[in-house]
Amino acid sequence: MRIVRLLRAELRKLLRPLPLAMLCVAFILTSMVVRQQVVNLSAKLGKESSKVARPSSARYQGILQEGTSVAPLETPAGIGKAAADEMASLVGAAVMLFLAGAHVAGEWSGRTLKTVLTAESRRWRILFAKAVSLWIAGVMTLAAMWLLLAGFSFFLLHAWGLPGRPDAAAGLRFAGPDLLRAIFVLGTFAVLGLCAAIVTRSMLGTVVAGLLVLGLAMELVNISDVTRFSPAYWIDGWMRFQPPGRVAADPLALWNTGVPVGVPAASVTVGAVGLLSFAVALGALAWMRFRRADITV
Amino acid sequence: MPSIHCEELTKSYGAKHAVDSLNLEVEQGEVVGLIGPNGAGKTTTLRMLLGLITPTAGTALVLDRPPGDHIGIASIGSMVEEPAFYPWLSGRHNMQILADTGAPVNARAIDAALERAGALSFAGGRVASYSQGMRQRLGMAGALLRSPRLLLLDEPTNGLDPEGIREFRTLVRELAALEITILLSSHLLGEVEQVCDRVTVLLGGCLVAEARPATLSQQRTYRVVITAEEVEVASRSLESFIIDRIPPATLLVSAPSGRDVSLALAGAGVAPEALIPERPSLEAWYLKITSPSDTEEVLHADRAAASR
Repeated sequence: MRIVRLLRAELRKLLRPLPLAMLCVAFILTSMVVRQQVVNLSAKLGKESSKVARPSSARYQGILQEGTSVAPLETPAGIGKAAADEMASLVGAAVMLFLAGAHVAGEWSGRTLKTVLTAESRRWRILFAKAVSLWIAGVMTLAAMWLLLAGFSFFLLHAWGLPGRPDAAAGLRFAGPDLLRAIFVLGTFAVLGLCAAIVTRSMLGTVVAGLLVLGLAMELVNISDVTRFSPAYWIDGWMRFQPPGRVAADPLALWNTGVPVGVPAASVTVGAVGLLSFAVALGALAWMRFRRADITV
Repeated sequence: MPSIHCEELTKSYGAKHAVDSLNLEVEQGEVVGLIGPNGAGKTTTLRMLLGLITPTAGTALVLDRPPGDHIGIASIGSMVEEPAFYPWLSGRHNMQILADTGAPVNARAIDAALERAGALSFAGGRVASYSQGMRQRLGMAGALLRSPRLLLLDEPTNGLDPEGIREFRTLVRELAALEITILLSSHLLGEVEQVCDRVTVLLGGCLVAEARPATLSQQRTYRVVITAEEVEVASRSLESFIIDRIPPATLLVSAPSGRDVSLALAGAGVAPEALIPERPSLEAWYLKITSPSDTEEVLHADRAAASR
């Protein structure tokens, strides 16, 4: 029960304008990405149908199929895939790093850490509650973004109705797996943010350090010898941003999926194990830095 | 069993000793003042006792447990330096966060602590709008939240108005009457003198002197006013009594009686313009202890003792 109360205390600290601001930014970015994709497909379909005399041509059918495959984005349930893919990629990482900067590093800059540790001196509990509350904040942002995008989907359907007209169940099948997977990635981002915040002890430091780690991970993917050991590769595999056999990467995710030729795309299992190991390693580093750190603020 | 027991407690940052071989014992129910100039090691000592800073050497026991022990910490109320809160939340929300962090508190505890610290009336407002005095009161409420057996307070009257300081004094006396141990650091020597059973002076990280204000008041201090021409002669004759020299021609001396001062001056052929008995103060004692020449003597004696 004591850990639940501690978690409640940590969640109460998140009742501030920053998470709302992060949600707005993430929503605006995601809605722009989705709109662009729908507009592009709609334009392609329109252009092709005016050009070709026979809509049954193979080229037209190909574009039509592409349009149909994206059509679930125009359902309130299906557009959840956009929320999931964005939150499991750089947009979500940035959101989590900003939140970690405020929520964890802010205890140093706001000089409140001494108050926390003189009430609960078991530092592992503080670390655990911080990580879990950050994770919950990330999942809440994902859910809120899905809700906002669900409203946006009606506008998309009205303005650029793609062929297919899928129902709610099809939309849920389209988005459901990605939404569930994104929750796990958000957990990893939460631990990354926690670790960056404890090491740098500043908001700016947390964001810069976290993005540097992810940037480095993306660069490592391009080096075929170490591709398999990059967290970016694991996220690719886990989120299926570049599923086997598919040439183009998921256009909804802001993620580098340039896996070199000859290196197979990561499987979901490899992705899961890799991400879990990455989170454990980051958690251990955070613990080592925080365990006996002198609190002088 | 003492509430605080420190043995050779040391904290070093490289070659610099923030706290140097501190031996300190505070009995249950005692109110002890920790005084000293800036950088003397007062806050570092309090942080070590709370487990926020790990000592480089030495040991400490707080309520018979190691500093930072989670069972012991539940019985300690503290306010280290300026109290810090989450400014976007109200004082009451901050107290609820504090109540949810650590050992459980009963439902009435928040209101009781706010009331006792005089913070109940403004607890509903956002902390961002609080004055320093209001934050100080909220910090005090936080320290009292878990009905502590020991209070560690760092500059508790900082930012308080005269009425607030008087209320704080009353509160400390009430808490002391309940056998709650209090270790407080302060620069306001007048306050320390009024509320503490004992004062400890830290200087350069070392404990250099201890005294009981009640005992200090038995010593007599005199202000000797002489003519400018006779200052040097008078200074030599009162050498063993002098605490301070106040230009142009006043000497502050501590002597068993005014008669001793008069006799010493008469022996040197000096007739004072005035010999004014002064109320003995902790301030005079503290200034004597921390004046550069005395400090060097004390530290020198300490080093000599250490080398032996």
